[in-house]
Amino acid sequence: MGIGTIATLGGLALSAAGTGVSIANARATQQRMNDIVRQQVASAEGFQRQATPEFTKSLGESGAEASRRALATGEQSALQGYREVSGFPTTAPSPFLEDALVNARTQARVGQSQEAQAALQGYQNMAVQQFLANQRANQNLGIISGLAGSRAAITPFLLQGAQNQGQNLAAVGSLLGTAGSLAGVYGQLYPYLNPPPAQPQPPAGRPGPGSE
Amino acid sequence: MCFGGDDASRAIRQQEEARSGLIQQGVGSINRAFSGFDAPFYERQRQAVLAGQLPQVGEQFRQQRNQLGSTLADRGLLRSSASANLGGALTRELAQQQQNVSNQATQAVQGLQGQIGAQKGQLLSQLQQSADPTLAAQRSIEAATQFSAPSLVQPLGNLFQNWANIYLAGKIGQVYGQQNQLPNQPRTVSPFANNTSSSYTVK
Repeated sequence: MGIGTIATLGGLALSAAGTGVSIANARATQQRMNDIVRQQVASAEGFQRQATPEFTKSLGESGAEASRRALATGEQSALQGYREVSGFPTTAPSPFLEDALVNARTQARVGQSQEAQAALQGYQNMAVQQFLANQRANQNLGIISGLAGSRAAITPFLLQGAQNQGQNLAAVGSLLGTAGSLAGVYGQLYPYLNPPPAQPQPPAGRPGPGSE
Repeated sequence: MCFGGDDASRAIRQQEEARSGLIQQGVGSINRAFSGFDAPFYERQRQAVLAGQLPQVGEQFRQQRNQLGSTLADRGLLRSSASANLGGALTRELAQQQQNVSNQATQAVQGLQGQIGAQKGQLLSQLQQSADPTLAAQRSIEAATQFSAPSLVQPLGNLFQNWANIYLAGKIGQVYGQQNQLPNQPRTVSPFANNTSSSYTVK
């Protein structure tokens, strides 16, 4: 087996090794990128798990039942407030004629007015509670969303890093392939670059020494 | 073999995790600074507004009552049924004004709740931009202190003026006029005047 043949076979082997390294590197890079995507998706799902209860809670504070509760609470609170302020002492007894009927009528009208006002305050309370609940939900969801967004924003950089991480190995594969190609070319050109030494030929037109 | 890409990715990831940690730390600081704004705090605010305004209502009521009593006594109506009715009307007006004050106190507290929530939201937004928990904690404490300071209670206007202008003047004038004109007025004939029986049949 000549040197050219050995070089050609060696070149083929190197090329094959280079190709193998490149394929392995491509697979490893793909694997790393897939891992990064999986990690990022898992991270996003984690944030979603935090956000879902917040959203559900917000929904619970926004429905008809929650509104009815806020109405009732506001109404009761307002009525209690009215009773509280109506007990505020005004000192000195009234100088006017006390009339049981007038007093009863006055108390009834005050009671009616308080109930009507309290009902209106219930609606006011419902609107305020709704606003505050929205505010809280937006704040909590905003934080989670911000963290999720900033985590997602680094994904392209991580993928780029995964690709860059394989570049050294890719260079090794490429080098092996190039070396194999060069060796193959050398093997094929070897016979021409190193021709066999020429055999000395006897001159055809001259007679031998004994012919004279 | 050098894996520069791996180092960079690790650095980016660590930086991001550090930033998230700082934000969460800042959120904790803000929540702690605002934790004092609870139901008892708002109730104290409401009571403070009531304590500032109810005495004004009481004082104006007393003045109005004295003025009414003086007017009625001047016209000899203090112990009349008109006095009882006017006293009742004044009491209703007092109740109305007390309801208004109570509503104003509640609305002041609700407005404060909204302002505090908005301020907290603003601080959280700034924290997300800066990722600086120290600054967030400092600003949240400043904001919380500002809200904790008692707000000034504005003096009330003349609460009973409308009642005095519209109701009282007309009513006293009407009552006084009726009493003076009673002897001269033709008496209205009762539909039951000729009915001598003790029962009345509805036709």
